[in-house]
Amino acid sequence: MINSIIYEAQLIGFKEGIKAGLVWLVFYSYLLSNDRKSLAKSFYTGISLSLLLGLSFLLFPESPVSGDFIGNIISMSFALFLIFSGAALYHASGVDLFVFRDGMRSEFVIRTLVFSLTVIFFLPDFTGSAVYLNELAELKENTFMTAVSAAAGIMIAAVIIFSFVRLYKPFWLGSFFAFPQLLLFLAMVKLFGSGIKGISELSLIPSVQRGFIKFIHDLVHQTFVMLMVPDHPLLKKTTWDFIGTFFGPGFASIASLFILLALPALFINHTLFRPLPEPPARTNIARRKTRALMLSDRRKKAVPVIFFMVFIISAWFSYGGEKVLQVYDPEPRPVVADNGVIVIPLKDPVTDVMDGRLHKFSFVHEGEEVRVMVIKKADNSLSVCLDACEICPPSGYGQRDDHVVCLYCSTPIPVNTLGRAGGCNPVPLAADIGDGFIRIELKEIIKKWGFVNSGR
Amino acid sequence: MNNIGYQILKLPFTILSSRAFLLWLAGGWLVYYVSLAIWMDEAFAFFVSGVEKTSLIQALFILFLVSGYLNLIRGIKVRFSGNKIGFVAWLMLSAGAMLYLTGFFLSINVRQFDSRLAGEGDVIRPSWSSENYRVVDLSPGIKSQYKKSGQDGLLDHEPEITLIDGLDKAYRVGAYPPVKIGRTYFHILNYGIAPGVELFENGRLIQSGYMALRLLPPGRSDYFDIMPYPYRFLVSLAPETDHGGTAQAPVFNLENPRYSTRVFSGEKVIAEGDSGEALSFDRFALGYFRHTYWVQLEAAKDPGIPIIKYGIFLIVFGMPVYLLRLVIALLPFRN
Amino acid sequence: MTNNKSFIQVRNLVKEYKTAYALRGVSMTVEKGQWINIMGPSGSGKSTLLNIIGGLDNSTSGDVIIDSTDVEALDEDHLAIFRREQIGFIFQQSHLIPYLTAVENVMLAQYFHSMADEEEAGEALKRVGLGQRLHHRPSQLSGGEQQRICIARALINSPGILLADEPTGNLDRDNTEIILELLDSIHREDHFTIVLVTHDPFVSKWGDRVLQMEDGHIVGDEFIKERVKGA
Repeated sequence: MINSIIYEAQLIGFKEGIKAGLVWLVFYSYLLSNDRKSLAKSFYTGISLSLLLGLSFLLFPESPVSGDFIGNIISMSFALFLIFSGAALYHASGVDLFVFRDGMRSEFVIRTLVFSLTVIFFLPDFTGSAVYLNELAELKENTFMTAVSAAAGIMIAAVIIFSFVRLYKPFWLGSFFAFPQLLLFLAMVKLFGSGIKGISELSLIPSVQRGFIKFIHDLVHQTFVMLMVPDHPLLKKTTWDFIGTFFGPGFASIASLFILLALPALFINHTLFRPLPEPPARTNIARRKTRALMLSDRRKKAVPVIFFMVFIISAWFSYGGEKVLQVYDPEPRPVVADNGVIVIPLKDPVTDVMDGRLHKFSFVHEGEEVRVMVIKKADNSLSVCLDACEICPPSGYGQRDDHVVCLYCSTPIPVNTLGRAGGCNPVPLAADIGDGFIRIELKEIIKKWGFVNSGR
Repeated sequence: MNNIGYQILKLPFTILSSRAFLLWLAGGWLVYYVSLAIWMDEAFAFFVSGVEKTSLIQALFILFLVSGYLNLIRGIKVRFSGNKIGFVAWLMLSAGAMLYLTGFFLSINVRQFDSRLAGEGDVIRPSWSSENYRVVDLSPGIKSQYKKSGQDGLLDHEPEITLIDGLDKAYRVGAYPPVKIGRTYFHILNYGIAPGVELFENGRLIQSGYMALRLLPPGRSDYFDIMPYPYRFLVSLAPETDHGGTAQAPVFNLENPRYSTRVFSGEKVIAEGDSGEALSFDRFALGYFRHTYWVQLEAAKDPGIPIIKYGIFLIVFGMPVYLLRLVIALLPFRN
Repeated sequence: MTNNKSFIQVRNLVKEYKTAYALRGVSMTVEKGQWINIMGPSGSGKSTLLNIIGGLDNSTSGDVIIDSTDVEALDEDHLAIFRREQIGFIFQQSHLIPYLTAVENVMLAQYFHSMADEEEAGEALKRVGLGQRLHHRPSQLSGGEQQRICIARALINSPGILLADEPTGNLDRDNTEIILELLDSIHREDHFTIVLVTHDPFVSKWGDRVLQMEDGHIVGDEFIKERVKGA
């Protein structure tokens, strides 16, 4: 068994290989159709350097940077490509954004640009995969087979891309891409294939969704504050159900999708719906032919954008259905007070509170169920809070990835910020953690469940 | 010379009204916000606090607004002669977005607000106002009976108060929308029961009054102190014992509520009991009389509120027209 | 390269069907801008010749060279482009799309060439005297009017050659004359080449030249000194 292929490593290698192959294919086709084949060298230099630097992370027994750090860099590079593509689109539509003068168009500048974009694109992804492979190698206790499996994955991808190119010579693809479309394509490749959490998250979509949903939620909340919409205990339930819709993950998810689709929609608007310019032509036929060529070019360049839109929508909802909208709400496990102290074991045959998932515990006090929640933060410390906040009726919280979400008003709270008091935050509890147990004074819980719960 | 002087004068306007400048600012903000959101958890709160406190962000925001309005004016000139429906949709969306952002900036930076507890008969005067308002009626809208089963609402109707100004003109103020009186918006931010409390010392009444407590929804507890005595009184609503409630879904009478009280001296409970009986401790006794209601009234002077409202209104109505126009443009598909 | 002397060259063209020959070694040249009428009895091979020149049919052997392009050597895609750019067709049947209006029928030809342009299509119909009939369907128009749409449709993309196969075969004498006069006046303005097939001696009086065919052979080639109309 020890020398068998590690499929997860192979998948990572395959993914990186396919990604690089696709990007090469489209970029090379783009260069061919623009008669700039010589720029491919800058691309090759960039991708080779990224590969070398990325692979060098495999040499460290322990990665000098964390996976989260690289994950953030990947997210940044995705955002940059998306923003760049929008800027390039406006620039191409006649808004002179870069004040390009002839000097700026020199071969050197363009080569440097291609090289830099290539490195910005590939280096974070390769590094991220290398760091993940390192962790995998440690887990499987087999560095050699991890590396071999990943290399096999890359080889399979290379063979597929190579055969595809040999069989179909798909360099006509270049005519579907102008520079802005090319940048949008790169952003989309990032979106769909730059997750570095192995099989559990191959794409960036879940983290992008979380970011967008948080933004929408915060924007709605801020707008409500400015419009003096009161907190929900004050509103009749039907009114709150209406207003609460805007707080809900459904609204946030759809609104986020709208924001993400805004850029491709802008592309469609610029490429398809703008009136065609009147070409200088001597005869009607020449004019009509030129306009037809322009129109056909526009339509071609809208094709990849429409393709992305369809892809984004379907991927968004497939993730949305399974991951983003789903909240993990565990049944509370009953505990009892022993000498005025609630004692929760860190690990028992059934539960391990350090497993990164939300854990709830409950007891009955004066006929009322009091709930406590425990969850591990990214820094491996434990957060112990009441399963209630100061504002909502105590419906409690569920877990959605690295957030807990109020089950009453859908407010997401990042797990890493748990421990802060006030507002929508779960009420923090003073707890003594050590010797394999969490100890919380019953008095502390009762006091907070009563006092703090009421807004003091 | 004059011409050069004119050109120099015109230059800032030319730059500010250019789409390129506006797009650079928008792009810059995107990069800034995305970086914040990726590297920290509460990016939006950080940004809002920047708009409130950081001069650089304020200056850039104002530049964006000025550039946005100049671009809007330029856009109106350019687009007016084109497709009318498209023009109206574009104008509603763009003007809506600009108004929203203007209101956003104003609201964060110039809003004055005040909040206080009030009961019937109280006089209210926001710190920036010279006008006094009296609460002449308070209708809490609370159900007379409440069964605590989780999703059941507490309110028959949303709480409302009536304010009168110096000329005896009356205003009904509820939770939402806020009511504008003069230049101030009023609305109710919270509400609750204020039990009447009497403290006896050796059988003699020494203090009495209403205590505005947060006891709703039933199950919550709140406390009060009576100065200068070293006691703290922890109060919650007690369920009815004879109305068929269960341990999981107790029933509370909110018309004539019963209070469950615990008296603390330091950390120690020295007495506890229901409001049915007098609660005695040391040489004192605590009694309850008929409750009244309180509201937490919030007042704000904020020129941003109507601007935000109009902005949202324009966006909400402009968006469907804009999208519809795109769909229509797609349908015949001819050029 | 454009050569005024031999815009269309047909060399030794043979078309053989399973049981018979339609063309038995036809050779001819047509100058640029010339209007040539091909006459002959049914089965003489004149329509077959026209179809091969227009790239609608293949020959068994021989060459057809139009404006330096060997039509027979073109593959399917290039032949389609060649037809689109160079050739306009008019047939005895109008082949108009019944549920499209006159202007839409012309726009359809524009669409298959490059892109539709309603204004230009309308102008073309005005030129053939149908300015008041732009939005009529074929069923609302007379046979002569329908054939005028066909002329507008055939010429909308400024082809170098107009191939007409019995264009007036379904029309009475008055309408035939109207159509031919119209064709004549447009031809004088635009100078394209016309190859017209007919068995009607009245029709063959228009144009510059008449070829006589019989049994797959050209048996006569006569220049008309003066056109019936014009000049």
